[in-house]
Amino acid sequence: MNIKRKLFKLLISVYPKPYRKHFEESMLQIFDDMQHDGSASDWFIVRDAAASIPMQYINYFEETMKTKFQNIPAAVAGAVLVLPFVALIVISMSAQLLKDMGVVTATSNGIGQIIGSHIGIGIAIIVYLPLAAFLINLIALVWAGFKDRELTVKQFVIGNALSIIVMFIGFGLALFLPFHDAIPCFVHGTLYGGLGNFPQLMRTCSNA
Amino acid sequence: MAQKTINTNPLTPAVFHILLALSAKERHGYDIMKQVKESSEGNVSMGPGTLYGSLKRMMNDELVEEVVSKNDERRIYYRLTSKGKKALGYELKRYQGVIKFAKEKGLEQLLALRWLLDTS
Repeated sequence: MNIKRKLFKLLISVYPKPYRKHFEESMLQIFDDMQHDGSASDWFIVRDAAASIPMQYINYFEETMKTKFQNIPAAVAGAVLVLPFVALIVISMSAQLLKDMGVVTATSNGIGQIIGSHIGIGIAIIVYLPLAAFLINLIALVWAGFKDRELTVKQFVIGNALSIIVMFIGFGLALFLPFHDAIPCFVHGTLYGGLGNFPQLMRTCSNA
Repeated sequence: MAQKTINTNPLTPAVFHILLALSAKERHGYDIMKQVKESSEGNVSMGPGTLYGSLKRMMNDELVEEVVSKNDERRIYYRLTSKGKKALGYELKRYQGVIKFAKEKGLEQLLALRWLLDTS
């Protein structure tokens, strides 16, 4: 194999994998024909590759977005549903930070205080909306898995990454209110006592 | 019943010349490259990267399809699909309209304009 052909093969290796897989042999064939006929300069081939490689990556990215990233509407809907709770957490933490820094002297900085007497709205924001985000994405993921059963686990996780992330955020936030005392207790108990006495830890923390 | 629609937007020069090259017979990549250069009088010159990039897009749009030739199994040949033939037909009709318009307005003027463009 001559050096020019080797270099051209190296240039082909820069193209996106699906493109390369499909057209590598044909491109090499054309290169051989061009070399045989002396119909193109080396500069022409390099210029052609420089122009087409970025285009192929753009096409590849577009195709990947179309075929791989699924459940975008479910992920966006879930993100919108958990947004009020996230906003509450941010406001609460900012207030606490400002208070700790001595910038403000207000005492109403907890989520409970922010919600105040609007318990119904508070419960909806803290429990039901994240739960809805979780369920919407769970259903969308189950449906996606059911629809395309030939996907590998890796393909499924990459394709539905946004939906999976939002689903876990929704799940985590929905558990916040019922277990917000139990979680620190469990973490503390595990850190200091290990998991050896797990049933006891569960009993203690479920009463926290 | 809904009819399958054909994109009647103007084609890019590369796509047009590839369709034109394949209108007479099925061809392999290098043959297409040479034919495109010839039919465009050297104005459209494609290397392997741009050629197969265009062919890939055209296959996605179902304008062309791959065939394995019985005479030459080493190479992949390409041929027009019925959608590709229609797209080429629309484009040629469009050119026909342009030429008709140019003739009505006086071809000499346009040729003079081309001479001006070539020399500027």
